[in-house]
Amino acid sequence: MADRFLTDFELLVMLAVLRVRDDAYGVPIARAIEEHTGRTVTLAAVYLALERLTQHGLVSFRLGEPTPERGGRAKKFFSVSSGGLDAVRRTQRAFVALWTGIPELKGARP
Amino acid sequence: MRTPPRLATGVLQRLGHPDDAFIGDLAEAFRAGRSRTWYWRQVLSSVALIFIHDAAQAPVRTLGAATTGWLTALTLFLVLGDATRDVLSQWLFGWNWLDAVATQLWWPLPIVAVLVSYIGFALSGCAVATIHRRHAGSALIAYTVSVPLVLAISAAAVDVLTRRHGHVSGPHALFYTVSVALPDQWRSGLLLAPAVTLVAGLFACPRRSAFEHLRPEI
Repeated sequence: MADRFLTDFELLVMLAVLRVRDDAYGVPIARAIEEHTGRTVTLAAVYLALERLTQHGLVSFRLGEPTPERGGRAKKFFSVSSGGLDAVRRTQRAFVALWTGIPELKGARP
Repeated sequence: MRTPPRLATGVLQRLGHPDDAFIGDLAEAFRAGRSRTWYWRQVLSSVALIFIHDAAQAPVRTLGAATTGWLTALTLFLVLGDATRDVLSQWLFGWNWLDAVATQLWWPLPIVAVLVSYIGFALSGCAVATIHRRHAGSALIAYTVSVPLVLAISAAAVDVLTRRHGHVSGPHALFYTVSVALPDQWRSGLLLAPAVTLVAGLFACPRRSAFEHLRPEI
């Protein structure tokens, strides 16, 4: 999946994972997307996107320790792989290339 | 410490995203102050998203699940429908055919027929969840969604045929299927049949254990 472009939601999830860094599990990832975009997201949508990205090798995860406030369930910490970073950059370049040269969008920062 | 709604968690474990970390995230957010409404919304959206995801990934398997349900229901009605009706009539109302012919007392029959219909839908829901064990949630939702659709189409066909010919004849097994969607049952089956199917199937759905989704497909 070397040349894969990300969907808009996958891009949001990847950027949120990169932004949250070491604490990148479901709750903070969803919160980061909501805080920065104003868009309400469900955790299930975030997990489905992460599962897809993991299958494509763009994201990897490690399991944390189970905690009582989570009902004894472990956290799944996600991180973006080097292939994932390439996919983000490639998608950004595609967006910027499409963005530039549109008179109606002149002056707006991509 | 606040406990997340048990019913919602039970539904999630059977029909929702098959990931323990996801359930843990929901529990953590709930204990941090999220409302029960928020929790239920997350659970129902998870069920819907997983079903849409599975149906898009494996449409043949989804159709197969719905077909399994209908074949089970029709087979049950065909093989056991009338026998169950007679046993239930005798047990509930002390009714039997010989006395009925003599007394012309037929009122228990339609009541018991409704029970037979719902028993059939409940058992077919259980069968779908059991046969399609690995994808029980999506399979059960697929069959449940098909129930009101098929009932509505069947009832509409019965309406048209009755208007044209005055009566409808067909295999007796179909009676137990469509009767709950007809006007003399207030078309109650359009809501109750899928509800009964789903609830019964939920009991047969395996609870997903941690990381089950990481196991290879068999």
